[in-house]
Amino acid sequence: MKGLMMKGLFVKDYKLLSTGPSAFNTIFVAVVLGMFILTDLSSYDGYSGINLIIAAFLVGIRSYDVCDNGLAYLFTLPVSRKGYVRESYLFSFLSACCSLVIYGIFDRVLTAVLRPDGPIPFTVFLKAMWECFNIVLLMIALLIPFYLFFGAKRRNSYILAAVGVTMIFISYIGSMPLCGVIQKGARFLKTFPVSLLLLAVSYLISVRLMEKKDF
Amino acid sequence: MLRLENVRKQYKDFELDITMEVKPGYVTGLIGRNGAGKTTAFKAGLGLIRTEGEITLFGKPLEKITPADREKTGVVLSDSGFSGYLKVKDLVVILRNFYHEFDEEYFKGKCKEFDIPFDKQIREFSTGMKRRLQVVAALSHNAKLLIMDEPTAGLDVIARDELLTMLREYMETEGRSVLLSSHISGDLEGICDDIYMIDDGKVVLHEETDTLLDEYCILKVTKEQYETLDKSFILRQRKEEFGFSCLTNEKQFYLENYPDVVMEKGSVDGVMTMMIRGDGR
Repeated sequence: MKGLMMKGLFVKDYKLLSTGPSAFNTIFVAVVLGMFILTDLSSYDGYSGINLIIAAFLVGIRSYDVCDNGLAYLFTLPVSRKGYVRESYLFSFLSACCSLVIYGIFDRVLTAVLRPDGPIPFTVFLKAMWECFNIVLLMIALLIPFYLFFGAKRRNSYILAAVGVTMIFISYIGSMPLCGVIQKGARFLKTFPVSLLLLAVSYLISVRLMEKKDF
Repeated sequence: MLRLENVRKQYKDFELDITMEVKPGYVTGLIGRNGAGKTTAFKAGLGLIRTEGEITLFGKPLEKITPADREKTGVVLSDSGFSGYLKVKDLVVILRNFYHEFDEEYFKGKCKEFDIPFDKQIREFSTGMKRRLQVVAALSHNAKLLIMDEPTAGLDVIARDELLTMLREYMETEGRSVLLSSHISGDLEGICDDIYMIDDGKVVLHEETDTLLDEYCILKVTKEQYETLDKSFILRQRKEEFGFSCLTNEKQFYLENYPDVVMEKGSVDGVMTMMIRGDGR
């Protein structure tokens, strides 16, 4: 039964993603712009920026559920509150990872053709992808509790706040000399455990918020 | 099927305090003014709000209800529905994946019958069309209990009649129950087995519909007739220009003993007005 609930929620989210007004369009525009901008960049910060936008919009699918008190009706279907929260995190994570992989593949192919001196070195590319993965975790951790508790009315404010916090977090933690082995330049290794921890805390907060919420 | 026992919910300026039951095989109506607490009672029964008291659904405490139990309910809410970004053709796939017993042919057939477009986002639907969609979805997965808050709101006369016919057909299968509210008392009179009237968050009257229509009446009496009237069976009274209106649940007693008194046949509207606006004996 839990499997059927998860399947139903996944199908719903997939349908929302594919019929939603701006998610796919925004991702498409972000990817295309990113391809051209990144042909001139040697750093992987550009990747982070583009994927930050993509992650924000993918997590933003939650706003389609919460607008017009939609969650009230959703919880009259065979959906438990905890199950819904679990699926929200899982779907956001998986869809963001999928977009990351697709984006990475397209980027390798297109920059190989468009960039005069070929695609950026593979090691730099991998670091960039790993950092984007961290960004995805952070955006999910920061955005989902806001959507679930406060609804979709201030959606843009949440996104801006989450983007800001993520950028500060990546820059600040990334530049901290945590230990001798992990040097500056390997900031993704430092941020990953903290991102995972934040994600776990965020999930627990969301479950608690959802179980106490009146609709 | 569904039982609310001393269920309380306190808001800043409103308190729900209700005990009610939907019995197997019954269509139970909930009627009351706007803001009387109908939607709050529905939400309490569905576990959408936290309450004090005891709520049991299919004999289980609400906190132990699983998604499998939810499959046995079909719900229409007055202030919530499917995400407006979905289309009906998406819903077919979604409902198929949520419900083991989703009857796709029935759902599609009823959507066509009600002129519900398959390829249009739900947010572009009219209120009535959204309501019809929820009703069709609620009826399409062999639910044992329908919980419908204002299912006829926004529907024209024909659509309302079709919907009530669908509910009657639904009740032809044994062991099913319906809880519904409507601001149109005629809808409830025509279909409900029993009716709860609520006002200011409390049940002011619970009665079998047949009893309410057959044994209740409003006596229209002059001041002189009022003085001599046996008030033992008067539930509510109200001062009028001509004298008094008096609500009783013993029509026969007054028919036999006061043949000169004008009597207005019992109706949901009449009884509700008296129960809410009238004074106690």
